[in-house]
Amino acid sequence: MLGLIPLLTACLAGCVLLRLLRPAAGVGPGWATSLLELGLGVGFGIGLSSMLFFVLTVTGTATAATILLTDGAMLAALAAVWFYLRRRRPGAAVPVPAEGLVQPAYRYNWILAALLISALIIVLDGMRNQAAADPHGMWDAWAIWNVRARFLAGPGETWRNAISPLLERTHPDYPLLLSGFVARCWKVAGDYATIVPIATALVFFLATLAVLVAALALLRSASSGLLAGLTVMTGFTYLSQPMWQYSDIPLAYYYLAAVALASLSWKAEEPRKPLLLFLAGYAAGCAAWTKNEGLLFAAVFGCCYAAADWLFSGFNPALRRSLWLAAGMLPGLVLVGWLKMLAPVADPVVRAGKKGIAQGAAQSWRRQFVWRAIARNAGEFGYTPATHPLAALAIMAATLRFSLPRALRPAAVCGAAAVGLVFGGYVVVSLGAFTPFGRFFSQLFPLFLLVVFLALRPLEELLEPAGAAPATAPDAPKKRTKKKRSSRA
Amino acid sequence: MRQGGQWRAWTALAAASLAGLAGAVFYWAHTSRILREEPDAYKIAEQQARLAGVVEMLPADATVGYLSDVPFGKADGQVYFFVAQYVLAPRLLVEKKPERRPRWVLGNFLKRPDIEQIEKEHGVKLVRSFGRGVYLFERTP
Repeated sequence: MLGLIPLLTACLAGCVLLRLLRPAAGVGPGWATSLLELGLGVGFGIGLSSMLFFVLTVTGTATAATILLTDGAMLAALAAVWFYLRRRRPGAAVPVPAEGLVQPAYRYNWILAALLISALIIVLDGMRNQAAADPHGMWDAWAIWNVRARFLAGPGETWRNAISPLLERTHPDYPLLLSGFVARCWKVAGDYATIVPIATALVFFLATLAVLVAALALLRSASSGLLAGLTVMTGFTYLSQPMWQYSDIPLAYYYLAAVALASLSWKAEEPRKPLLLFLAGYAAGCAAWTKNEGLLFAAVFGCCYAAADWLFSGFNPALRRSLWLAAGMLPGLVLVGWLKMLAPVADPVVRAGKKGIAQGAAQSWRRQFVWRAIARNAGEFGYTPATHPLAALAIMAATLRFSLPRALRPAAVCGAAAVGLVFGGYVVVSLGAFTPFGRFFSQLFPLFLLVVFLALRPLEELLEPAGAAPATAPDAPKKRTKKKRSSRA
Repeated sequence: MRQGGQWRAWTALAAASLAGLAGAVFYWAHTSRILREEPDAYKIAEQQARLAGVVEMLPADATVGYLSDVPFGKADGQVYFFVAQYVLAPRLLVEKKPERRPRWVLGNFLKRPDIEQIEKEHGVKLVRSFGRGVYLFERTP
């Protein structure tokens, strides 16, 4: 259980940092802002501590004491800033969204919330079953991710085993966010307790759900967020993944966080955009530090954001904002570059290269094999056809219908293009290497739901007169006033 | 209120709720069956017990050669190798090849091996047999 202490300190540091930065303040309802900060704080704290651990490890200073000291120093510094800001601005009001941005809540959101919590409790009990049955996770967990965490957590120079060319079948060049974070906790605990990777997986699953629900509540409506949360529970393959202890769920989290933050930047006031975009870039950088697919995502997402912003805002603003996004990506990308220099090339896709992909594309059996894998894994994504996410989405699309406000168009275009291009990239590399499409779908599932529910008309709009539907264009946030509070009551 | 809006809203709500709850229940039922019928699919706990003696004996920074009668080309061979690698980590387990001469070599066998022949063939000497097919060899000078 000692290993849970560094996990908690990392999450706490991230949450305090996000609470200080308040990236989404004034964009939507307070509960959604807090939930988003919580969801982002947890994953961003894990990402940051994993990066710091790698630097400490490579410089030969990673010990239980230095890890705890680093965490302590980070928390103390954040607490000091917190208290300084509170003393400096004791009466500072929390910005609340302008009236036009506040969606009149759907009367039966409480039903959706209650059902989501019920489904979540059932799923969490299922995850407890899965963790009890396979505490070491499934194949890639003990053959790749956790075995490398053991190397990194070992004494002396054993961390070099994680990137050793002798590690022929365990991909020594795979990025180390998950392995590094688990190793960091094991290093502090002085053992290899399975509770650490299990808890890390659970934290990422819950953080992904929190970011999805909160981001949609801020961007579209509370009901959209809750409906998306319920749709997550239909993804049988996705639900099975966290307790496999692979990197796909952390990757899905960072994909979602990056696009959600970029989407919020289009809705936010101009002064808040750089912060949101820097954080979106940081999430994309963390994705690259999580898995090689994250490198593809970082490149695709950067291009999609720049193109969408150019299309909707013009060249100069797009260029300026894209630089903030790129700046946020730097920490993750620099570490990946460093790792790739230290480790031998072992990724099957890189080894197969353009030649392998071209050969695969030229062979009809290979193309058919890939399409069959896509169809089979897509079909198996829901436990039954009736409870398949696409079935639920089809019914919701037929009843709610698509209606995309002008202010959300850049976000939807950027998100949809990112999903499409990243998936296209997976298909192309699958022609030359292997085809775990169940995991590819899981990586993109939360982001896909974000895009779909951005475009779907919220329940609130169905039940309100057309004129009362909220404008989603950004207005100046107003300070909370007594009068406003009482009028809401 | 828009015409038909309420009906459509309730349909969407019902679809998401039923599918979400059913998905959660199916997932729970599936995991309950796994826990009941096939826990620890790759027998990692069993391998940990088999290899515990080797873990105790070898230094944490050792590079260990690997010999087995289950070829790596078979799925079982891969499971044996990767689970042994996981259990022995942070020690590094490497397949025994002529150009590699690690001091320690782990023997992981399903059938009783001919120790003399292995010693002669690979230039190693048996240090200890841990039972259940687990042997530790040391390279001869």
